[in-house]
Amino acid sequence: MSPSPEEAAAALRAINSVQARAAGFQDYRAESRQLMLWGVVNLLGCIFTALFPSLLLLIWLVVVIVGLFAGVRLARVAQESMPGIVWRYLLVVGSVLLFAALLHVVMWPLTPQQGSMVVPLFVATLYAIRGAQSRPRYLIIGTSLAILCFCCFLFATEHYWWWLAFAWGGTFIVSSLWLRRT
Amino acid sequence: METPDDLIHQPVRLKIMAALNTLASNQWLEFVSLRAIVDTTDGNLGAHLGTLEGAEYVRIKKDFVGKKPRTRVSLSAKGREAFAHYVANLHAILTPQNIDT
Repeated sequence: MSPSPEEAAAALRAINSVQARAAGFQDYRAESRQLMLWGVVNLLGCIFTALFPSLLLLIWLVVVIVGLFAGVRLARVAQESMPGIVWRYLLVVGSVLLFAALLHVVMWPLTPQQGSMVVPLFVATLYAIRGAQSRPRYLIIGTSLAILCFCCFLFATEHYWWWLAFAWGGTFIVSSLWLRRT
Repeated sequence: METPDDLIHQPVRLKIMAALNTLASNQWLEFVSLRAIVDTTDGNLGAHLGTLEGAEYVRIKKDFVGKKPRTRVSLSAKGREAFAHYVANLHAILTPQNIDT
């Protein structure tokens, strides 16, 4: 028997609702893995910088390269289901790194504390924009990251890198766990 | 006017088909992810997937990630076509001339 118009409308509403849920779910899942990775990378970078401040450049060079390799590896896992994801991933991370490098050149000289704000505030802005456009959780992640890192910059004069490890790496890790919850 | 596909019209199977239809043709969705999206139990999802697989609407792939078993599901070309047809039928039901009659 053919469904009534009310049943047909209800079925179409159910389809729309599931499709929105599925798209959001997949997006959050993929982002969660990258947030966990970069959360750990930033956490380690800040901790090592706190322990060996004179090796700041070397430390960040190493952790970012390791993070990039691990990130590409993670993206490759999804390559089968999302063709082209590795190149898009490299483009996004490359853009963030290029932005940070260029801003350092333009604003030079920067203190290590000033320099350390460039990437988290830029990434926070990207998340806030993405959240405002499509997925609300990203808006909360971006806002939290910006507020915590900026508070760290303003108020954490002592033990700065330890606080930044918590504000930057910690926010990413907690956000990653949050995105895994449906 | 055609009757929508009864196999898809069942609420859980409708959700499964709608979720899988968001993927590209070569994309697979893990069973656990599908369960979360459809919001049902393992047994219920497994049973409905079995029905859809029997009709060749979905493909099910079982493999291992390390030592951990993994089940992934994808919509077949036949399933995608059937779902598109189903949605078109729903829209047809809602056209003014069909509502009036």
